[in-house]
Amino acid sequence: MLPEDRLDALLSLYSENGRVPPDQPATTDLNGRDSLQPLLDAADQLTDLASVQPSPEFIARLEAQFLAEAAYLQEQAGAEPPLLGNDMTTLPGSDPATLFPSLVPPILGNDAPTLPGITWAAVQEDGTELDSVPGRLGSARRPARRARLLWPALAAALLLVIGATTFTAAAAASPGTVLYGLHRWEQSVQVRMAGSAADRTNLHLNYAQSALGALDAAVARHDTGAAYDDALTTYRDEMQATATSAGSVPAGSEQDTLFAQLRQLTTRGRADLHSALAFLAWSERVQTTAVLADIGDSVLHVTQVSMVYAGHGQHLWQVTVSGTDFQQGAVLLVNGRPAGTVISVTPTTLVAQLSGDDSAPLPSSMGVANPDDTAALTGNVSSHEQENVTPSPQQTPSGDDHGGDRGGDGHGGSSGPGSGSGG
Amino acid sequence: MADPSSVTPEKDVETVANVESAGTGMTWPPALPFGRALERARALDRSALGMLYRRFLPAVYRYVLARVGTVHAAEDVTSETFFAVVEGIGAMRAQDELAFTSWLLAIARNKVAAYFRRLYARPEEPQTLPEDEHPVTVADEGDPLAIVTSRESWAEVVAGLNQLTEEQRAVVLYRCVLGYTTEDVARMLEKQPNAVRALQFRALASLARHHAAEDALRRGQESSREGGQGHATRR
Repeated sequence: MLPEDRLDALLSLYSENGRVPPDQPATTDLNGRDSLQPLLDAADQLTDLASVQPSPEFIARLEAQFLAEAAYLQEQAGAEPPLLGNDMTTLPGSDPATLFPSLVPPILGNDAPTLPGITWAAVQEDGTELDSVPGRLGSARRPARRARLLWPALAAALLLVIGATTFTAAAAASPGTVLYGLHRWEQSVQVRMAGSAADRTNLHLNYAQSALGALDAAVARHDTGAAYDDALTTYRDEMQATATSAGSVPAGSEQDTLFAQLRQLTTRGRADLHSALAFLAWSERVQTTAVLADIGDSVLHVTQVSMVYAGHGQHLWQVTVSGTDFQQGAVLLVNGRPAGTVISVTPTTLVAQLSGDDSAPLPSSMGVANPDDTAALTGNVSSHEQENVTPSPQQTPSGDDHGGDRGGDGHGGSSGPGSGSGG
Repeated sequence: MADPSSVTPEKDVETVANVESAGTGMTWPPALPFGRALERARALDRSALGMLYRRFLPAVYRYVLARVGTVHAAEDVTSETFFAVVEGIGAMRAQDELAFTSWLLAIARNKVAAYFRRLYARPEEPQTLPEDEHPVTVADEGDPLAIVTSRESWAEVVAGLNQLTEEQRAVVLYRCVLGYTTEDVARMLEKQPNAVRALQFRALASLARHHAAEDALRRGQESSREGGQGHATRR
């Protein structure tokens, strides 16, 4: 038996029994010199890998992304060329040609005379009919007149074709693409034309669901730019519209079903958005957190930031952030990025130190990021000088004193440069 | 070693689908023959895709992990592989499990190659394995000594594999890690079984030489360290 065959047979025994059986010594010499044992040992090191398992978190996360990608591709494949796309055809009781008669692409060729403005000189100016075959019009002036009529008509037809094509493409446009705005407009038209509140609610639910699918797919593709932002905005708007619209559906089983679907989509949305947070840039985390709050999730909220400059050459700001739902391990955000050193965190207050000069402009926004990747900002930032240790000369109140800070504690609320930018 | 795949070309596709999956510990749902699942997956049916995913994820992950060496990179490359799968499955021509596995692992191989291209394009990035990036087998969990030993030998195993030719590597990984039979590997790589056996022999011999050289190097370092310590003690 060749050594390759013997090795293969031993490996097969390994795979069946998990070890070399005692009556099959692995160290059988080949031609009295070589041994297969080192090769079997090398194989044994590899077989350790056979029991390695991916982590359950990874399995679940990738499965969600994998299936979201499949749903996205399926949706893309389904959004086919027919006039004005799938969305238009799903509108109850609406025929695209009825909705947008001017947008139906003209069929050129034999039917060309039916285009508006194109008569192909079939009718004379005086209304008498002529032969519709151009070659048989004897007059030399007629081709020139025909040409004068033909060019504007062709231009109009071209515009119609471009318009119809644009609308068709927009119907299939996905978040992040140039035509997505038009796509949303088309959806709003469909909602306006829906026959009943229940139909409107169903449309909103469908749009919210599609947006959430597109959002998942964008995260899966690490395409967390415009595609993610558009999908997130659409999801938020459509969820709000669904809630409003479902409220106007007459009470009964239909309304109950719609509210149940809304709750289901809300739950899925919360889970998906929380999963997405880890993959997002800070600005998108803030947006996503705001959407989580909009759909009723309990997330942190920042109301006010107060900065006190330490002065005396320390170049330090003491920052106090007020809000709700801060978690232990939260960090300070300055202009959308983590900064400073956190001193203490309570559910409603975060205190941090930030190095910087008091002559520098105040940050335009500050906030907090929790360890679960939710983040919130506020533009309501005010600064104060630290209370002066050295007593300043007291100004004697005079008769023309218009009030102001009588206590003289320097807490003017906006004494720092560029402070008090507001929300 | 994992239970080798019981897939053979002669077997009926629907029967094959019911056999326990190699190494994954999962059983294909008897109600859904593999061929039909593939058909539905081509149409991006999510339940079929989900079943394929759950069944083949461990195999792809192990294959990728054996190549890239770190858990983090293995997760990234595995993700890329499955995204490529969902994008390309509509055009896939495989009709049975073995052909599908071959197609899937070919994608994984390409993604691993792309990973290494990216890695070599950014040589400033560290290429050593961080402490928490060493994979731990199920058997190792909870055994600190086993974990330490595993970490010590892991980099060596990956380095040895990366010294093999592409064909040798595919053969030993399909055989020893994924648990396929020689005949199955031959079919997946479109080779004769004898050629697979020869590749396997050369690959394992090369790995054995690599490990022997590493052992000799380690022993030399240890003895020089001990010598240095003894010298210091005497002084």
